[in-house]
Amino acid sequence: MFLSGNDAAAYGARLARPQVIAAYPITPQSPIYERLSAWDGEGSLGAIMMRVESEHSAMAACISASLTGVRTFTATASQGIALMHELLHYASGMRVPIVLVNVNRSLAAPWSFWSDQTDSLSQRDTGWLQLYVADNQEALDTVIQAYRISETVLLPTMVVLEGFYTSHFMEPVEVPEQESVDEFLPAFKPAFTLDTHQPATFCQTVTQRQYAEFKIARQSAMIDALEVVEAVDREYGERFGREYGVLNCYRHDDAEIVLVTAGTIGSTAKEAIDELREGGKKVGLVRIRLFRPFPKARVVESLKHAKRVAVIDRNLSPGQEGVFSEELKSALYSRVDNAPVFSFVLGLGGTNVSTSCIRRVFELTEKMQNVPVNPIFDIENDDALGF
Amino acid sequence: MIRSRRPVLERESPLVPMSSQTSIVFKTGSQRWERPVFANKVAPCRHACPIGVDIPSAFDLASSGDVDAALKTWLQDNPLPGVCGRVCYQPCEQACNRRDFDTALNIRSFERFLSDHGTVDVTADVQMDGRRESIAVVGSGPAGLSAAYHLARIGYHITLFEANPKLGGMMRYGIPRFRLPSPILDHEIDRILSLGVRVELGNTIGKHLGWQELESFDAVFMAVGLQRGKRIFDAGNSKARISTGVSFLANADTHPQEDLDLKTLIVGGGNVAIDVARSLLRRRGGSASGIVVICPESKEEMPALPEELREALEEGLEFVCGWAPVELHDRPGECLQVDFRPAKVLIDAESGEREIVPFGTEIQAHQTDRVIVAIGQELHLPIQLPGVTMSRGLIEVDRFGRTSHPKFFAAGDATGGKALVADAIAGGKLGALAIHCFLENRDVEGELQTLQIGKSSAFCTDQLTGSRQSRPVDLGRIASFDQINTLFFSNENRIEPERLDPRSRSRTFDEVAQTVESQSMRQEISRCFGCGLCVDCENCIDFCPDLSIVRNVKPETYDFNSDYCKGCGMCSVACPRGVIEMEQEQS
Repeated sequence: MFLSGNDAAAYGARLARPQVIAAYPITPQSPIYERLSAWDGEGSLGAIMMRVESEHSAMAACISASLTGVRTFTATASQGIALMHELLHYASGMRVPIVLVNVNRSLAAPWSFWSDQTDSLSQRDTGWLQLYVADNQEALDTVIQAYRISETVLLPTMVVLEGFYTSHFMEPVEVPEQESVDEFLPAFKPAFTLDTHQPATFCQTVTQRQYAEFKIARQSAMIDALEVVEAVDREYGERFGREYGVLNCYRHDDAEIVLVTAGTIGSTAKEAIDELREGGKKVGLVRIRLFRPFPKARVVESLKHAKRVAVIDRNLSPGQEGVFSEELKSALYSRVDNAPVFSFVLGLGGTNVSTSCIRRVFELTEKMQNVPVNPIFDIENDDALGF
Repeated sequence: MIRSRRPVLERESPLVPMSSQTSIVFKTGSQRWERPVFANKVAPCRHACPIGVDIPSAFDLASSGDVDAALKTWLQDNPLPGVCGRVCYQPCEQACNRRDFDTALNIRSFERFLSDHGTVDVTADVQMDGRRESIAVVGSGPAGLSAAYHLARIGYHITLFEANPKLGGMMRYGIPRFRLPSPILDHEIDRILSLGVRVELGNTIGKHLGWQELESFDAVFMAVGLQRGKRIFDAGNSKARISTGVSFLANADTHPQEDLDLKTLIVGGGNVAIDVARSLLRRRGGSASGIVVICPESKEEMPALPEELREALEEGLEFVCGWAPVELHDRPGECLQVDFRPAKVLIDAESGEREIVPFGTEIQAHQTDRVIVAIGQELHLPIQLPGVTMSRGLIEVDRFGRTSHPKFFAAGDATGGKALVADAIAGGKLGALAIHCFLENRDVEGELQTLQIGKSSAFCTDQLTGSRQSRPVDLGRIASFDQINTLFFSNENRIEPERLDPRSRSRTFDEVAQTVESQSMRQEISRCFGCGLCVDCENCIDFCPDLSIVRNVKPETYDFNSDYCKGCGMCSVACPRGVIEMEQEQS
């Protein structure tokens, strides 16, 4: 089928047979909401569609519904996920396997609509798994995988698309048969549910020590989730012929300069790498698909031959740098002979990161004498880079 | 394949923060500035009942199907539920909180239902003959029977004197059988006598029962009633043609038929007048023509029970209201003629005393063969009781029924109280307390204060006989309608007993009102709010956000956990019956 990323995500959600969907429309996620509503209208959704008054309520509804033992889905973006923030902590703390699609969009102010990863990366510490996808097919496949992962580790998962790049671009997408998905993803069997015959208080107050125990238990689940994500992806590959890995790598085995990035920049980069390879440059790509839990050991392993590493972030942590760069450096610190990391912050507010732009990133990374302390924004101006 | 990594939920370390017990972390009780207080209160029905019957407890017991226990609760205060369940004027229903919601509960039908269906051995939990003292009770009407019953339950030796050949007083010789069948009365009297009460029948005071004999008792309770009908005209030569309501009713079965068929004018607007008219109607085989009831009151002001008036009208009896008799013309060989003038009735708001004031000059003359006067009764005491002060022809008593003679107590009609069964029973009960205190040398005033229900003269007998372990009740406080959370109740129709068809019933003395069927009564029982009474609904437990309501097993009470109760007041709102109230913390 020829589908936009939003539609692909909606198809993925429907194939997973959620029983409760609670959402609130927001650009650029609205088409997901509209597609699900259309199915609801024609009676083919198979879920209760709750049209709630805010994203905060949407997440509250998903948490409560999930605690009753049903599969839940929601989608949001930008200000929506910011409003949801408080409840995101509740969801992971309550260990409910909700799947959320976030379509990256810049956060106000100023008001803007285009892609920027800061909205989802701001939710880094909420205890959710995060998977960043590069195209529409991956969006569909990842939503289905996310349920399998979440319901295994009992943590919620966020599948992240990019506003307008993936959300509104149309691509050929293979939509799997419902029976195959049902085989891969059996009905949700909760370990515990709300039971009126055994009344209990959920999310009660705990002691300091109990709190620590809960947080440590969640951390263990997060750490364990890495292998689960890999195993689910492998099994999905066996069944459906598409496998993505926690890191999606391209021509990086013998690469001297490796670009690390996430989302759609990763697919543009493949073209730039092919061009550079034709010119004899040993360059490659590591696209980080799984951001939480951060696959530290896998990242270190994938970069063990790299002489230099470039990172492109379509996000910025003010006062620091791009979040992927920061996380990468933290991972590499465990390696004694770690390669220098050159941090680029590009494409903020949805500006295009083109193949020529990516070629320039490789060029600069090769040329630079020292690793700049602060991230590089202006790759066209050599003076700004201190040449 | 994916390893199953789903953690196993362990009791000690659950994966999901959930708790089925109290949240033990913060002793949030320190945030409290108000605390819930569990206090059973008096329901307004009980407060209004002159006898102080614990009505809501009886409803609660009956709701669980235990009719015997419910009747036992009733008999704690009222030995005559079969009588009151038929003829009481229902002050309880007037006060019922349910009136503000839909309609009052049918408490009287419930009382009758208990008496018709329940069985209780009143001797089971009392110590009969536990005391030395002997007490004479003179008169076996409701006041006398009530005093005998309550005193016997405390353990005194009772001798009950009655002038008539049978016990029951006006309940037997005044209230007609179609309102109160004799077997019901017999059954209730037997139950009272089962307490070991000695009976002396045919002992008219002054004739067979002298002062000396009375004085030989440790205490005497006078409940002789008002036996003699008041007269307005000098009967002169027409004794046969002018009689009183009470004498008519006492002999309702034996009047010769030719007298009954005479054209009859009944003067009076009370129950006696109507009872005379209805009895006469029945003795005549249902023919109402030639029977006229005439009274100075308007229909609304008539002192008779509204239902009795309604039934009489249904039966086709004629009422002429607003006329007072002024003159009798009795000429030999002619019909009697009574002249009436228009009248109005002035009712004193405080005392309830009635004054009939004729006005204008218009005269309505009624020709009749016979006049039956039913305008009240008077005391007929053939002997002097030395030391017992009389006042306006009645025995003078204080509010406890004490006469001026320390050993002599009195209640009921002979002391000028309300001429209604329930009030007479209440008088007997209070008299029993006064006699008990006298014999125990205790201060009746103080005793009553501890037992008193609200500000009424009714009191709770629990402590007196020590025979019941009910939940403690704050007797001083009445549960008002605004304390009821009506969200927990739905509108339901009040059930009414079936009544015999007016045409057929006016030919017989069969009881008019029928007992309510069990199925309908169950429905009526379920309507009771249970005002101020904890019935273990446990809404408080369900609604408490801090799981701080504690259920005690023995005794079955509820408490709150002061370590955690934040004083939010949810329990007091969720209590449908106004049992839980918030009280300011003393800092």
